[in-house]
Amino acid sequence: MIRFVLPLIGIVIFYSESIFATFSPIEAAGDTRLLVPHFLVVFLLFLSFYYNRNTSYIYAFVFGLMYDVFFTGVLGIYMFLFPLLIYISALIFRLIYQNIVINGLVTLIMIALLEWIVYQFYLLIGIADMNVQAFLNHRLYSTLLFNAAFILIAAYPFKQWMSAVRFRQLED
Amino acid sequence: MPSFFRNKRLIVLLVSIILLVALIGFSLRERDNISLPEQFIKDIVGFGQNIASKPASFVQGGFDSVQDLLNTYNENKKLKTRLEELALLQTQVTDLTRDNEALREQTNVEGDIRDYSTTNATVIARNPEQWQDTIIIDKGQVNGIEADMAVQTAGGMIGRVKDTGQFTSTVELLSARNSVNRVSALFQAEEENIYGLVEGFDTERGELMVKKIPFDVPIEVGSKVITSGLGGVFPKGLLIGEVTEVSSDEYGLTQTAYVDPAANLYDIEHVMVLERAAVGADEIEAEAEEDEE
Repeated sequence: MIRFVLPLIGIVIFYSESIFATFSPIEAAGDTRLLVPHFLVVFLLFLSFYYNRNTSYIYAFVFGLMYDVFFTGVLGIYMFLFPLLIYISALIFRLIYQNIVINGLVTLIMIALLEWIVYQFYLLIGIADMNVQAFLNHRLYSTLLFNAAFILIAAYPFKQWMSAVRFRQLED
Repeated sequence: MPSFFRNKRLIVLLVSIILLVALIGFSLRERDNISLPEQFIKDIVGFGQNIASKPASFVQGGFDSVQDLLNTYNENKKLKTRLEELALLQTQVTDLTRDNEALREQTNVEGDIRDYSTTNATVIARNPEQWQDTIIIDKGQVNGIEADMAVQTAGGMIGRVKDTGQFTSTVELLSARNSVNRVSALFQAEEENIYGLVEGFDTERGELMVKKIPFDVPIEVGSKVITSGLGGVFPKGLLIGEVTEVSSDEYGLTQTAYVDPAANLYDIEHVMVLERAAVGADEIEAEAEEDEE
């Protein structure tokens, strides 16, 4: 049974993103702000921090492919970027010491990086037409705040669950 | 170059970048519908999404009905004042429809680009990354939905079907920025009809832009915009919105009208997918080709 816990959490989070996306956009501080849920990125990165990095690459690839096919229709972007984010965060943790607060912060930085790369990419292929100022004001700041709230809520449970699953599997 | 090939990470990175470019090129080219493996994944994910969206919409429905209850008194007052107008309008409409039918029979005109058949569908997901404005509905090919059908809510037209799986379809909203997302539009003016193309969306204003309007025709602010049906895909007469501002384009050769969409493009729950009864130019050509063979 324990083997199915993590995929199940992943699938629930995958579907919850599209449901949370229905709250967006909101009017806040006198302007329209988009809230883009990146809960899947939080899940995948925490999986690489607390469970097993090689497994998390596979999860990232599979969920990225599902995301591309089902939501965006542009194949390859998230399928490539999710594993890349895990790789970059692993490089960062060669330099600094890991604890839950630092993990949360690095996850937030990775979300910003993901948003930026996807933005630049969509500019290139003509899907996005925002200028940088509009991107920052309407999209990035509010998205980061929204996801920071999610990290605050989910970081500790994620850590507990993933460590527990790992511990159980090591015992077997 | 032996040291180059020994660097495994670099090879993986290079191969995946090549794969990435190939995949993106594949998915961006012009195509009628998505490929079979994509449909397969879409159907599996869509099955789960169908289940996942049920409790969510239930909770949302609960909140909405409480809000409706609070608004009931004010709405009731407003509606009562409009009820009398409505009765008058209805008799006029029935009269005109009968008249129209009789005239059509007399002149032997068959097939009308206004006719369509509808399929009702429920929105099960919205694209969470929100760069492309797409929603996913719970009806697919098995329900007879095909790419490029028009989609509308009770308020008015909201977009077109972008691609279909067996059980789900993706709908591209009018607000999406896409070079193939063009709708032939018609301004209902007093004397004559004026045509234009819905091309793009102004995110700052939250309004659609209708371009390619001849520079010498006056367009009144507040006039209604409907689909013209001349694109050969959508039926005629779907409400798009209302003109809020008209300005000439940068060279002064054509005019651009800003149109406030009639349907709410953000809060969408139930939609209708419309299949046009009259055949379009593409189908006529295809039939002609078959006849030649």
